[in-house]
Amino acid sequence: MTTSNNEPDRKAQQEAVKDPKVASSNKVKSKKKLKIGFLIPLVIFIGLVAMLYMRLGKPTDIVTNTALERPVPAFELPLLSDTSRIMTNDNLPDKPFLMNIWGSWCPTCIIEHPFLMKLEERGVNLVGVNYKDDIGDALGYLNRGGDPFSMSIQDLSGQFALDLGLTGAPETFIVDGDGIIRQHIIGEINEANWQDRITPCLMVLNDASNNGVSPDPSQVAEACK
Amino acid sequence: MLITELGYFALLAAFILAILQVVLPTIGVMRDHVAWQRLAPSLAWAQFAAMITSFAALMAGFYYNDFSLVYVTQHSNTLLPWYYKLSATWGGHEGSLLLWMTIMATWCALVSYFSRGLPLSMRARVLVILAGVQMMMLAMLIFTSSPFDRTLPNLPVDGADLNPVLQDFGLIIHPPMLYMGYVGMVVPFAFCMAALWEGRLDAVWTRWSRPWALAAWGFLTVGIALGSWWAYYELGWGGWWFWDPVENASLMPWLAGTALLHSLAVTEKRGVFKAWTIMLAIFAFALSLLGTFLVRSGVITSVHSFAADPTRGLVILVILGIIVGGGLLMFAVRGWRLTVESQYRLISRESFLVINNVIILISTLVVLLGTLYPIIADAFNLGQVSVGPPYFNALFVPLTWLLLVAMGMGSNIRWKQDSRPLLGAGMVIAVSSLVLAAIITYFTSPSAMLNIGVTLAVSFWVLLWMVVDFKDKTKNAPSRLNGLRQLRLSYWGQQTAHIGVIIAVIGVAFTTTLSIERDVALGPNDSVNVQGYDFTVKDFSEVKGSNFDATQAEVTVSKDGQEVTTLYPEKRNYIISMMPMTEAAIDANLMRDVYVALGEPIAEDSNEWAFRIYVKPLIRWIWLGALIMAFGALLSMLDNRYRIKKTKTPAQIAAKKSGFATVADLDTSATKIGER
Amino acid sequence: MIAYQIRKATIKLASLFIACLLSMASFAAIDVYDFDSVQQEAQYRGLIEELRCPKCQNQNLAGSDAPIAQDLKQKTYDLIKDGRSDGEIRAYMQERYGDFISYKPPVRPSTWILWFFPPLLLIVLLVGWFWQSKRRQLVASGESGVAVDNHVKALSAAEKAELDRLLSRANNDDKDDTTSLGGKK
Repeated sequence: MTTSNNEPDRKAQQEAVKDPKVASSNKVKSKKKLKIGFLIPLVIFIGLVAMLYMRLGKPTDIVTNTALERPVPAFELPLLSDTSRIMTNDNLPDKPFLMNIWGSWCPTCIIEHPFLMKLEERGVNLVGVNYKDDIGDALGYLNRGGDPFSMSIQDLSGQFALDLGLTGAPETFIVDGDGIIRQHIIGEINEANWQDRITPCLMVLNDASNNGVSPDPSQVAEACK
Repeated sequence: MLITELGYFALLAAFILAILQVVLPTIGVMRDHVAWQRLAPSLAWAQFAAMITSFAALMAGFYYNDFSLVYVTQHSNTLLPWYYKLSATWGGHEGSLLLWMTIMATWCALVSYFSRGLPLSMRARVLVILAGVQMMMLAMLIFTSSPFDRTLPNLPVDGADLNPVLQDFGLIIHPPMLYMGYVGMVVPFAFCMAALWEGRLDAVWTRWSRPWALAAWGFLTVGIALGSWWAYYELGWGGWWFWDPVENASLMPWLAGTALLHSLAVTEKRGVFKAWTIMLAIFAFALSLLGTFLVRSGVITSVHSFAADPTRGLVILVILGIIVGGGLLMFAVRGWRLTVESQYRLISRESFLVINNVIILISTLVVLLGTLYPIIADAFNLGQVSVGPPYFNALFVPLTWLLLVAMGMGSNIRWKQDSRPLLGAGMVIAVSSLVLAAIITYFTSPSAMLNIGVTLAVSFWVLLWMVVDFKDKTKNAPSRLNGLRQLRLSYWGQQTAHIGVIIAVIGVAFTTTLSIERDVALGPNDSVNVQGYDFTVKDFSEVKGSNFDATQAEVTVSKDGQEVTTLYPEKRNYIISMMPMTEAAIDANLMRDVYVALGEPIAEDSNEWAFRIYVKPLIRWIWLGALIMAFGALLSMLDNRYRIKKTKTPAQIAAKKSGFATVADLDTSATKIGER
Repeated sequence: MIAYQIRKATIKLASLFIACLLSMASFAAIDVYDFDSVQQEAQYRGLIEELRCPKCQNQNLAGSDAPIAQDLKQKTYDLIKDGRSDGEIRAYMQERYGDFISYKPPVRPSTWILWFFPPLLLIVLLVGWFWQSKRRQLVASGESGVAVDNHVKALSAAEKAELDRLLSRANNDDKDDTTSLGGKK
C-alpha cells in the first residue's frame, strides 16, 4: 500500500499512464525486449553446437612444435660408431638434412627402418640420434637392418631429446642449411608423409641452400607445414 | 545364445513403444481425447518392462559367457569373478548406454506411478516428453551402438578380460548411481516443458517437480562422491579430483541442479523466478546431455573417456541439438509470458537466492569454460594451452567461499522481507567465526592461514547462523525439544544438506593443505617415519587371484610405539590383459587416512621395493559430507507436502469450505495474490 | 588347431583394441628420490602435479607411467636439486614443450576469456541485480518518477472480508516458516 504524501504527483502520473498510447507503447517496448532476451540462450546454444560440430573427428593430441624456427639445440654427444669421438653442432651437415630420433627398443622404428634405407638410396642425408639405448643393442640393430645414417650420435641420458621437445620415438626433424629446424614429424616417416610433407619442404630448403641464401620465410611456411 | 537375442528384441520393442508413447498421447492431448491420453502411463510401464528385459538379457550374456556377442568378448573373460562379469555390463560404451536407457525407463515408470494425482493432460504431456527423449536415444543405441552385435560367424573361445582398473567394487556402484542422477535431470526438464506446452502460467508444476529434482540431485551427489573415492584408492597417486573433462561433465549438471533446487524453492513458495527456474531445468539436463556427448565423442582428451568415435559423437550432438534446442525454443516462444514483477525487499530470502543462483551459475561457467577451452582455442586459433587443476582451483575455491557466506545468512532469512536486527547479529557472528577459525588454524597449521583459516571462518559463519535460526524457530514452542520436533522434514533436509556442504568443504581444505606424501625404498625389516607414524615392512609374499598374480607386502603401522594396524599393499599382474596394477592398502578413520602403495623393485636384483606412503587428514570428510548432502535431499523429498493425495485431508476440507475445488487451486490463487 | 589359432588371434586383436581404447593409468610408477629438505620435496610434488605428461591423455606427471613422464620427472628432480625455482623450472619446460606443458594456463590475451570473464560477469550480474532491486524498491514505494499502473477497482464488502481473511492467513505463514499454504502435517 502506498503512502499518502505523494497524492498530487501520483494523480498526475496516473492520468499520464491512463493515456492509452503511452501505456501501450511502454508495454510493447518492454515485451519486445523481453522476447529478445529470451532468445539469447538459444543463440548461445546454437553457437556452442556449431563449435562442437566443427571439432568432431579432429585429432585431439597435443602437438609439440617448439623446436621449429630455432637452431638445433647445442649438444656434445659421442658418435655411436666410435664413442671416443665427441660430436657437436659443427659436425652437422651444412646442407639440409633429416634428423631421425630412433632406438632399438622402439617397435615403430623397426617398421620405419626399411623406408629410411630407401631414402638413403635416393640420396637423402640422414643423421640419426640414438635415444636412450644400450650401445650393444643399437649397433646390433644397425648391423641387422642396415645403417641409413651418415652419422649417428648417442643420446644416453635423453637430455638432447628433451631440448628438442621430444615425446617419444620415432620422430624426425628437417634441418636447413643454416642449422635451423624447419619441420617436426611425429611418428614414422613413410611414403605418404614423404610425398605430402617432407619433399615440398626439402625442395624449398635445398633451393635456398644451393643459392647460398637463407630460405624465404613465407615459402617455408607454405611448404613445411 | 537365445536369451541375448531376446534382449535385442526387447530393445526393439522398447523403441517402438517409445514411438507410440510420443505419438498417441500427443494426438490425445491435441484432440482432447482422454482415452488416448490415458495410454501414456501404460506405455511407460510396458517400456520399462521391455528395457529391464533387455538389460537382464545382456547381463545374462555376461554371466553365461556368451562370446558370440562382440561386446561380451571385448569386456569379459571366463576367469573373471562373477560379480565383475555382471558389472562389466556397463564397463564399455554400448553397455553403459543400455544402462542409461534402462535407468531412464525406470524414472519414467516412477514418474508415471507417482503422478497419478496430477491432471491427466499434464501427466500425458510429461510422459510424452520423456518418451521423446527415450525414442531418440534408443534410436542411437539400436542403430549405432548396439551391445547385441554378434561376432558370428566367428565364435571366440574366450574374451579379452575387463580392464583391471575396472575390476573393482567401484565399478559395481559408481556408474549406476551416477546415471540415476544424470538421467534423473530429465524429469524436471519434462515437467517444465509440459507446463510450457500446456500454456500454464502458474507455478504449481514446481511443487510437482521438486521432489524429482531432489532425488536426481541426491543420486548425482552420491555418484560423484563414489567416483572420487574410487579414483582415490584405485589410481594410486592420492588424488581424489583432477578436474578431468569427464569428471567435470558430471560436476556441471550437479552445479546446475543445485541452482535448480534453490530456484524451485523460490518459485514454489513465492511464485516468482518462474522463467529462471525453467531456464535452470533446461540447463541442468542440457549439461547432462553435453556431458554424455563430451565423454563419448572424442572431442576432448581424457583418461576416462570411452573410445572416440566421431560418428557416435555426431549422433549424440544431433540429439543434444534437438532436445535442448527444442527446449530453448519453447522457452523463447512461451517463457517470456511467465515473467512477473517480483516484490521483495533487499534483505529477504529471495535476494539471497538470487545471489546463490548467480554464484553457482558463474561456478558452472568456470567449469564449462575450462573444460571446453581446447575446443574454443581450436575454433578461434588461440594456441594450445592446458587447463587443469591450477586454473579451476584458483577460480572455484573463492567462489565457493563466497557462496558459503551467502548460504550462512541466506538460508535463515525470512521470505519477502526480513526486518529483524540482522546487522548486529551478523557482526557478532562474523567476529566469533573469525576468532574460532583463527584459534583452530593456529593449532593445526599456522603456515596455511589462508586456505584453512578462511574455510573454517566461513564454516563457523554458517553453523552459527544455523544455531540462531534454530533458536528463532523454536522460541514459541513449549520446550526446545518440542519445537524441534515440530519443524518440517524439508527444513531438516535443508539444514542437513548445508551441514554436509560444510563438512565436505572442511575436508577439502584440510586434505589439500596438510597431506603428506613420501616415496621411499624399503626392504624387509626397513622402517620409515611419516608424520608421526612408523611404517615397517615385515615381509613380501606371492598371492594368486582368479585372474591375476601378485606380490604382497606386509607393512605394520604404529604410532608412538602403539601398533595401529597392518596393511597389505599388492602389486598385481593380470594374466589375460598383461597389465600391471597396484592395489593400495588404506587404513581409514574419520580423522585421517593412512595409505600405502607398492611399486616396483628398486633394481633387478634388489630386495628393496618402492613404496608410496600418504597420511591424509580429514579426507573421509569429503565423501561423508557428500553423503550427508544426499541424505538431506532425501529428508526434503519425504516431506509430505509433496504428496498429491486423492483422499480429503483437513486442508482440502478447509479449502472446499472457502470455495475452492482443490488444495492446488487454493495454492494457485494464494500465489497469485502474493504477486502484485 | 584352428580353434586355438582363432582364439589366439581374437585375443591378440582384442587386447590391441583394448590397449588403444583404454589408455588409463593403471599404475602410477613410484620413483624414489632423495631430497635435501622437506621444502624441496614439497616443491617437487607441487611441480609434478602441475606439469602435464606430453604423451598421455590428460594426465599430470605424477599420475603417469609414460617413459617421457619418467624423463621429465627426473629432469624436474635434477633442476630442483640444482636449486632452481618453480618459475625457472616451468620456463625451462615451456621453452622445450610449449605452453601446454603446464596445467596453469598463462595469462595472455588469448586466455583472458578464461581468467577474467567469469569474475567480471559475476560482478556485473551482482551489481546489475543490486541496482535493479534498488530501482524496484523505489518504484514500489512510489518515490521515483516512474509511473505505477493503478487500475484497481474498489472491492465489495464481501470481497474485502474474504481478502482480509486470506491475507491474515498468508501473513502468519510468512512469519512462521514451519508451515506452508499446502497444509500442515
